[in-house]
Amino acid sequence: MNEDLKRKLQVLIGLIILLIAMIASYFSVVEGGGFTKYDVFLAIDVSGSMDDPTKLGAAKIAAIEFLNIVTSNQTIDFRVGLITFESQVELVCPLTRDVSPLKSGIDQLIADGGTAMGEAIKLAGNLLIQEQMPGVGKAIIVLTDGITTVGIEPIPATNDLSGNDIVVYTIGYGWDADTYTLKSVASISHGEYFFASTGQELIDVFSTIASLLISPIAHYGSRTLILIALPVLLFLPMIEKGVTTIIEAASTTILGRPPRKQKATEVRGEGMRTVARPAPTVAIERKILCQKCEHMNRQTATFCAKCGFTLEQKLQVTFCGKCGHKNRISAKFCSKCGNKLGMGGQ
Amino acid sequence: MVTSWEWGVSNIKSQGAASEILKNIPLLLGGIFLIYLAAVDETLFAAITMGNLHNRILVIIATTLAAGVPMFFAVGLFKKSVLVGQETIYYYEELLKRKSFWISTIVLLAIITFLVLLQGRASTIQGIVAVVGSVSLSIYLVIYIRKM
Repeated sequence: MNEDLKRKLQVLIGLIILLIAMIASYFSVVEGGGFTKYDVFLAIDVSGSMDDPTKLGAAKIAAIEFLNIVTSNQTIDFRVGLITFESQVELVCPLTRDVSPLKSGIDQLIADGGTAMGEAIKLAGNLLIQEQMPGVGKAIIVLTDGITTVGIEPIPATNDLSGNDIVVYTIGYGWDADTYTLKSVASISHGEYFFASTGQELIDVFSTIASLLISPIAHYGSRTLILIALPVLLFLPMIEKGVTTIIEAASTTILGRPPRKQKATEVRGEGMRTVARPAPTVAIERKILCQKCEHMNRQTATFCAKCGFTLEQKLQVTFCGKCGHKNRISAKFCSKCGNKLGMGGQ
Repeated sequence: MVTSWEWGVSNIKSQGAASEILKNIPLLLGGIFLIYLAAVDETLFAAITMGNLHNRILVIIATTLAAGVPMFFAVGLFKKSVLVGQETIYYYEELLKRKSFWISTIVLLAIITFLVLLQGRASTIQGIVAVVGSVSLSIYLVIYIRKM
């Protein structure tokens, strides 16, 4: 085959492999991270610093907006619970599919006291672990505007939950929020940190988190396909050679066919040029010996290529394919190594 | 019986082979780091989707690019370290001979470093690994390009 055409064909095959991987990826993406059920706890800060109608009011609107989005979703079964934290942590509403108690609980929130964020994460985490339902996604959404003043710190509380596949999404509301702690909590639990400075931004953040829970995020499986496809694409010639060798070896052993004679092909290696020689065969070769200078000439030659002597009396010799020894044409076996002559002879 | 001459020759050969392996170790480690970026790191994926995970097509494109681009360069680093002599497709082979391939790798690492800092993930373990790895590999590749 034309070398240029072969190269282009390799690229084409490679692109087809990549395209197949992409199509397979498309179908491997599962909505909601592969979960058909989700348990989510809203942990809302109702400390004294939240005692501002614009702050707590916006938090209530945002939380209700979140409930509206997740409960209107038809593909994933959501159960949502509500926890509030100030100096004390309170379970306002356990996990439920019913929106009414959640909404009434959110409406009745009053801000006062310190901030026990770590305790809230601990309680929510423990309640999610207690459920012990396999195949259910677990998430905690923590909203706060300040720093932890009471109880266990949030980072150790999150560390204690590791290994239970509980994702914590953290929201820093306003500039006084403890950004470092919130980012760390999100990072430890493979969640995400969000910042909101206004009520509208807070609503947007809650909508984004709802979308994250519902949207197709199970892309790790498909990423593996791409990771396999690309080296296959790039090392296509190596794979092709390997497959050819295996097929030839199989045909030799199973069918008893001799390996196909290879052409001498140039192999472009790293920093060197090597020539893949044809596989050695035991075929014999006939040449004409010049009786004057003993130069070996091709069988069709009339004059010696070296000395110009007329090759009238053509003396035909047979070369052993195994050791290369020169033998008389009439010889049946090599006089040097005993190899049987005449196999594959011309 | 091995003569002193043969022993000397084999010793020089093994020293040469050892130095060749040592020379290729940074490239091998770079290749492993790029595979880590392709398989685990979320920086590129997050930057392409920008939080918009509704669209399946966008997710697939982001997945392909986030995994494919670092993997594309990782193959080059493996080819130059442990897979020397193994044949890749012609156009990739030609690309590897050019400095532009290695400059593109540095650009990719710079983009990843910038994105990690932009996304505020420099204090997380994954972020630290990405930044330290990218900066170290970039420095080595600059030296490598100068030697080419």
